[in-house]
Amino acid sequence: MLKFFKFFGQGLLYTLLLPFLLAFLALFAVYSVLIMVFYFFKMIILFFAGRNIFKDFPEDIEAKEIIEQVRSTKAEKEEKATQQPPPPTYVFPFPSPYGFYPNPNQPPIDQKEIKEVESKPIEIDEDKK
Amino acid sequence: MIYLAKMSEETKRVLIALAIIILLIFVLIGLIGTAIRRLAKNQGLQVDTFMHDVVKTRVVKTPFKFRQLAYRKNHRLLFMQAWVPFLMLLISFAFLVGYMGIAKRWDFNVFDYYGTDGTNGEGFTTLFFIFDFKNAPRTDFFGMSIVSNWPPVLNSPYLAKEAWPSYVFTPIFLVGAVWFLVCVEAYMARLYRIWVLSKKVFIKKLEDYDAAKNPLDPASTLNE
Repeated sequence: MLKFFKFFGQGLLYTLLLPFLLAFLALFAVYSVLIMVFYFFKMIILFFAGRNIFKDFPEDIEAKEIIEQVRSTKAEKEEKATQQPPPPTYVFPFPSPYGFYPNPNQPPIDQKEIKEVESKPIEIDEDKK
Repeated sequence: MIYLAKMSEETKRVLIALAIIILLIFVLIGLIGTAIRRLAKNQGLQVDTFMHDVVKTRVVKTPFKFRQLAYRKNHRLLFMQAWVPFLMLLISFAFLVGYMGIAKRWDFNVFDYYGTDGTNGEGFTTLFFIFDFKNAPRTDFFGMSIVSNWPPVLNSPYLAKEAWPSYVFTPIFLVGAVWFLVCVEAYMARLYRIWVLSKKVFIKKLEDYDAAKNPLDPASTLNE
């Protein structure tokens, strides 16, 4: 019911404003006719100059270039992120003395330095014998 | 009030019926107006489409530049949308003027329904009922003189061969004119949208900004 009266009020308002709205529309219609005539002659002149009236504005071209640039940078970044570097190939020119080759990707193991002990022959007490 | 009490039951019913009819007419006008407003709103959204990229990429940075470019694009869009109806209007006028020139009938009346004897009218109105509202039966209603019955009929629809130029001119002209007005209305809706957006898009709001909590970072502000 409230909506019904809202429409009634709007109808009343539109009826009161109708003459002004129509006058406004008529003014713009005349202005639009002027625009049409102006663009018509502009189109003809540009046609004979070998140009098109509907081509992009310089601002549009600039915007397109920026978008293209951003897209290509983004694509490059994504490509870099997804692409893993190929594993390095090691060439072992001689046969391994251990029977296997060490894994080049394996991280180095931190080993404690083992001191070399000088080897001596075991002395046996002759007296004890 | 006393006047209302003195009224007969029938008059009261007529009054109530009239009030309901007037109410419904205004509601209908309100509905039509709302529909036109919604249509204009949708037509205005074209501005968002053609200005989106230049604003997002910061090619256009000020309201003035925004309006300047948007007006130019709007003019071009009007030309693109309205050239067909405009051509229709031009063709219809050229046809009418051409006919008047060739037939040497510069007094040709597009609205004539009668002709010389009521059977050879030369206007498109020969296809419609014409009522004589000047001589319609009238009655007094609260001091106003209003039409109380159907007025006499001046013309019943008939086809006249003399009116063929009007039959060609009028439909082309009417379709072209209505179509052109719709384009103009869309143009006006876009103008309004351009004005609103130029005020709205470049506003920097400080409403939720707390300088104490968020100290100014020149690098981040410049990169925004």
